[in-house]
Amino acid sequence: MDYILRVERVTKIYEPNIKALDEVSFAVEKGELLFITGPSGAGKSTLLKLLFRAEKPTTGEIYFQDKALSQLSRREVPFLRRRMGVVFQDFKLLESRTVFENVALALEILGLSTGEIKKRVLDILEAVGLSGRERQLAKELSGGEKQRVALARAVVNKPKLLLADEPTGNLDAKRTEEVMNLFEDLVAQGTTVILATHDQALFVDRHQRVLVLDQGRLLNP
Amino acid sequence: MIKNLIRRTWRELTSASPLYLMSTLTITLSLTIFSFFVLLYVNLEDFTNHLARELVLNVYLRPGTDLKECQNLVKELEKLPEVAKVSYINSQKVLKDLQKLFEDQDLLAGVSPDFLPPLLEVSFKRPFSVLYALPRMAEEIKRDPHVFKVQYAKSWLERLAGLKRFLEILSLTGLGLLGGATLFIAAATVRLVLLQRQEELEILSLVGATAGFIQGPVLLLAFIQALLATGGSLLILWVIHLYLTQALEGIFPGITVQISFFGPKEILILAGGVVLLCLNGSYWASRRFLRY
Ligand SMILES: Nc1ncnc2c1ncn2[C@@H]1O[C@H](COP(=O)(O)OP(=O)(O)OP(=O)(O)O)[C@@H](O)[C@H]1O
Ligand SMILES: [Mg+2]
Repeated sequence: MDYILRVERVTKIYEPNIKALDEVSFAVEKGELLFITGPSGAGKSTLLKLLFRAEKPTTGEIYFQDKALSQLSRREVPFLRRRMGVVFQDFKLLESRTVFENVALALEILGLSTGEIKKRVLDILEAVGLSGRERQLAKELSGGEKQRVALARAVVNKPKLLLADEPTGNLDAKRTEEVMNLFEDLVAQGTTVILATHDQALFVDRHQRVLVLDQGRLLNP
Repeated sequence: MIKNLIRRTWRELTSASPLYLMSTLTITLSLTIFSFFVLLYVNLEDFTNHLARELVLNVYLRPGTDLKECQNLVKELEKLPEVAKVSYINSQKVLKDLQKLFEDQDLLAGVSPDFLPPLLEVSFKRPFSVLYALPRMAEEIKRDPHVFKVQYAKSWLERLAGLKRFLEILSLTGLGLLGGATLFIAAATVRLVLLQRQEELEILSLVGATAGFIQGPVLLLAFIQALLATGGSLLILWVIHLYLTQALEGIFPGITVQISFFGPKEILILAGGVVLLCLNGSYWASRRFLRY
């Protein structure tokens, strides 16, 4: 099997003693669309944070493209994150910057030319239904709009792995459908997508693997 | 790369200009107060040294000592390492000085210069450091057969040395306090500015920006702020210096008070220190916000 990601017996304890993840193990194939679900506080966000090394596991190991994340130095971490796109549950937009600037950020850090950045940002904004909103400040956007800007920023640099934390939490049914179609397009192009959600409607009719977390434990490894 | 850095720095500067203006002013002011006291200290040192240089050892020669012997003695004295200058003052001049001193001409009416001893005035390079060697030196000089009497204003110099010591301790303590306060204010200001950007720096690091990419503009801004603050405080001090030079003129009659300012070397050290402080503060404060 060609795994892009392997999680081996990962435990995460937040000081002093909150066990957010407990001996979690699973692997993700290249090009897979994987759902992670579970009740609030189950550890979904924590798991995603470990995957792009915003947090480190207390014990256990995570391999991305066969490289152990614990072995990465401070200098290597940014290059790991560039191969991933992350849609944060709280969006993490630069509130006083425009929609365009927020999305362009992911390309600016790669040192792309302004022309190239402009083209790709406008394309992706169209795909998430935000055409014509480039100049609006992030702080003026509605929750759903912010979520789509965050999504645009996560996918604009064509990551190998997309981590999406409740990416449809603020969207209505129509927008949710659009965003899910976008994810499926990405998967069709070979991107691996891990989607954390407590919304069962997102995966009931899709024949995809679903991992269920409860109090930090994986119920169906 | 450089163009990008400058563009991003400019964007940051213009998007939060009041913040950068206020923080630069804060650093400028604390720096001005600190440098003012440095200048005060330097000038006090200059002034007391200047006063002390008026200290001379008066070597009275026996009346009638001829010029040749005088010159020999002058040469002897000038050989001593502590001595800066020896000047010969003949009897006529001594009489004139006395007349000046007493003002009442009648008192010296019948005095002929021949009765007065000629005089050698010995001045020292570093008067305060020879203070304690003076009695021994006076003793040695007195052994010369042509020497009639050796005199110096010991008590006056001792009092001046005491005053100098007092001012030194006082101003150095003050400088220590102010230096600490300036360090703290500058570092805290730099940190507060960065605290405003904590979230932004965190986000940048989370989406894959390298530390260099994120900290480049931060450090460039700190550098610019440090230079502006140093320049600003030097400008303020220069104006104060001009004012003081004028205001203090003629306060001590007979002594030209020269208020000295920082030279190029001191200015470089000051600017370098401030730049280092700001860069260092910004580097470590921003590093803590990067989530690697
Ligand atoms: N930084 C932190 N420090 C301490 N505890 C934390 C931290 N982050 C998360 N936790 C705790 O870890 C547990 C799992 O949190 P997590 O955010 O992963 O849940 P979640 O499954 O994403 O929930 P939700 O569906 O509400 O987003 C919770 O009990 C939470 O309080
Ligand atoms: Mg969560």
